[in-house]
Amino acid sequence: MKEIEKIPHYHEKWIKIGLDCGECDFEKAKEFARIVYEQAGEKCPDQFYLTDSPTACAKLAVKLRGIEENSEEYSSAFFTELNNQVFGSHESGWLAYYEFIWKEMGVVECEKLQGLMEIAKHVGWWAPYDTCVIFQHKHSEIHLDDQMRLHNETGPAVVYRDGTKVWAIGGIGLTEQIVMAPETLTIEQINRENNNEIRSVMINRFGWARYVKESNSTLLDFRQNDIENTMEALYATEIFGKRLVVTCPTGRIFVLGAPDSVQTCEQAQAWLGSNEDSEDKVNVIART
Amino acid sequence: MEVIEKMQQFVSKVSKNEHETVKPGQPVRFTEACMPGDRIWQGDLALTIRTSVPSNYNLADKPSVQLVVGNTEGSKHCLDSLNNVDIYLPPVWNAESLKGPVLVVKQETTVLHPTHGDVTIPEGFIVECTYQKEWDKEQAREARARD
Repeated sequence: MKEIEKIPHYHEKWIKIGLDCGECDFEKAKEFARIVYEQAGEKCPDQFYLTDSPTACAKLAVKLRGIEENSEEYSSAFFTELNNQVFGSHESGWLAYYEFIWKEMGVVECEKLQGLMEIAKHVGWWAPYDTCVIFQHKHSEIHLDDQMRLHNETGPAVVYRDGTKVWAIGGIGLTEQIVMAPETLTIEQINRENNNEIRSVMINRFGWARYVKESNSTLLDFRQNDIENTMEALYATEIFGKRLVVTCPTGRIFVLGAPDSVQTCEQAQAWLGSNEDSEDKVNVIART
Repeated sequence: MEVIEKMQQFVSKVSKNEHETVKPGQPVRFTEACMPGDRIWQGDLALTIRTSVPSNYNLADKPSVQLVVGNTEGSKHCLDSLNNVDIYLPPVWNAESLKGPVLVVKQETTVLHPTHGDVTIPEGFIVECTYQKEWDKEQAREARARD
């Protein structure tokens, strides 16, 4: 399909828009907002605001509703307004898809989204209401890993102009404590976290060696592996199942998950390396 | 002393190059006497001697010196040259794969790595690259399949 060959063009274009850290072009944003309302068959309000971040946008929306900051309903109103924010550069992934199927696949209904596509070049998320429109500047800083996931192990992954920060490693949203001060985490905090991905990052940053020690994990087996020049210890942990703690000849310690069925370090190593369908019996002769 | 402390002391010695026998980045080599099934681990890359190239593997059109998919330092397991090997690839080879290229070594060749030791393979061997399994990823894959 010749359309497939065009994907890199849309990919590159929208990645650039999504990662752009430029300020909002307020006049352009207003111009395209009017087109969005028109394409949706709605009347565009005259009142426009510009804010620095998603949190500032939500706070302003709550204030415009007349809800006091100390009131009982504030928190739920704040999160409602946060969820009311739409498209802009943060939704470049969806907009790339819509533009591709419109221009390359002939899905003409997507033409109505042209205003949304244009406005994304000038703002971060934005919030269109009946009585006003609140825009946001784009983020001022963004950090990704090699898989294009939000990622920064030494600072915030996203920063907005008012100092609002998003903390993430490998695309997983975290707290500042996990990223910047993992040594201050407690075993209780780690065990209490019920999101597996977050918990896994927490423990990796806290340190597995410290975790098995402080959480009183049970040592099941230990061996000195003279062929591979390693020391290996198999632990049963309360939350994370079985973990093989293994030294590496490069002078580091790795902790590798192992299935519940393994009882010894040898069995754990055999499982970690068993992905062959050859009939040759594997015989490890060295590790470096 | 607790086992974990013993291990921490061990790696501390190794990383400071104070251990008598274990030295970081020590090069190793398959000897000519090696047999099918013999394996050397270079970090989480397993290099295993095989008797033949699997029938579903194809000679790479555009071979790469890098034997592990990825851009991180850890994934830089690289051949010293493309001149001495034919590289066969499995039907699917990506960051999730557990099986990588198979090397048919025509002249002695070395797999280099920035932190692990280099692994030298003598002429005439067929070597399969496979990757260490990860329990957490396996579980995530199973969970995705269930969903």
